[in-house]
Amino acid sequence: MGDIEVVTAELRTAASNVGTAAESVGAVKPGAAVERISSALPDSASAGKASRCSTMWTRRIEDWATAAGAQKTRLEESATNYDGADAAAYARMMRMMRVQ
Amino acid sequence: MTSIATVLSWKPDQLSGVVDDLIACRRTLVDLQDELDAGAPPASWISAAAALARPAHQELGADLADLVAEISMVLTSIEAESQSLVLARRQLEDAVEHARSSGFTVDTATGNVVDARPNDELTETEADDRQAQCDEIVDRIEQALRSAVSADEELAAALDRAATGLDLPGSDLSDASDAGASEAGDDVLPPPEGSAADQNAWWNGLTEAEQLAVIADNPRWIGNSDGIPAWARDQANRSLIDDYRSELQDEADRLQQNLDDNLFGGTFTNDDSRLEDVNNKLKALDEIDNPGEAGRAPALAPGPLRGRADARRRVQRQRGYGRSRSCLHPWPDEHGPRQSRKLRRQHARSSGTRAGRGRQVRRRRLGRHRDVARVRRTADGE
Repeated sequence: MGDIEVVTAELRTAASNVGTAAESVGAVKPGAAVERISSALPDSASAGKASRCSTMWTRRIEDWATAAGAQKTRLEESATNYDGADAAAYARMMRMMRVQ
Repeated sequence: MTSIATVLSWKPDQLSGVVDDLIACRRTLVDLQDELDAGAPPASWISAAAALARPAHQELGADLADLVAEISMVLTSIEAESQSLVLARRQLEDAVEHARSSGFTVDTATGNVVDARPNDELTETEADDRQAQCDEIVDRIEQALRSAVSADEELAAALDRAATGLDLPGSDLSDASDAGASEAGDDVLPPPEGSAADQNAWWNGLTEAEQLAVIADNPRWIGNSDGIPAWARDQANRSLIDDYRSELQDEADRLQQNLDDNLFGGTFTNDDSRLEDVNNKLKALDEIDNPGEAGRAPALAPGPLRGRADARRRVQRQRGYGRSRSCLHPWPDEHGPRQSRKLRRQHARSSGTRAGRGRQVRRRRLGRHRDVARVRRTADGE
């Protein structure tokens, strides 16, 4: 039982950290910054590339935040499953001890 | 095709705000290293689910590191190119203003430069002077456009690479930031073929950092170029002394070998006189490097350059002394000073060569750079 307690606590800590990272990354907007190149250098070669870069970064940040959020969920669910399994095993053992 | 009007419409000083925002983004992301490390699936967790969670976490780290590297690359590129763009735009403004104040009209859409003064009232000499003035204006405009287009293309290339996605090894965010910055290309284009005025315009189109980089990394570009300031040529040539000495020593060894192998020595060849010539040049280099032994005071601090920091120190020191010092030419007999365009034109005129009939060729289209607006020289408004 001791091993299971340690793992679930660590899993929840890891999940929390991944969740924090997901929120922080999701709030970063490099795409908006780089988009301003288009207005600073109109009709330039950079302007067209800046728009594409902006689109790609925005999409990748969203994808990363989504993937990190999913990872957080997996870690939390694993911890919950371990806790649930541990509780069920504990209950079974108690029943067996009463029978004996 | 990038026109004068297009470059004049650019506002490169606004790019500093973009850089600031990207720096803030990068800092936020790099600061997430602790959360990312602490978010790794615990080592004590051993199960089928853990086997799936670990590579997923590694992929998150690698993807974030790539994003940091891309942001770092782009902001480094913007920082570098915005300086070039500011400089190029200012030079273009100055050239256009100079043209107008000198009585030329500049069409900022087509690039036509036209002499607004009536040609009929000019003497032949005056017309030649006007043509020379027109040529100079066109050179200045052309070089400013070339610099602007080059900086724009460099920045566009960095943005394109970022949009395509970098795939650098490792997932340490700070390392990725450094790696991305080093990915930003800060290549300086070599000087253009052409006149001293062309090369001078190219040199003046470089930022100070780029000039120092050329002196340290590509001294041969400028060592014997008339259009480059003497202090820069001097520094470039000094940085090449070791190379020159090595080449001369190889030549001396080769000639000596020829003489040793020849039964008649240098009697039927001129190897002996050439060897003496080479040895004299080696001595001249020694005098430059060791002026005390040669009994001459050094004109300038001797010794080859050791990187850009050394170049910067020497440049600053020399600028303090003044720029009018003669520059060092280790091989003055082979690479003597070239005539300026004006001198060449005067010489050609007096000798009746084709170049001397420049006045008859009043109208010329230029387009040395395919992306640069073509500029028409029309001194007589033909």
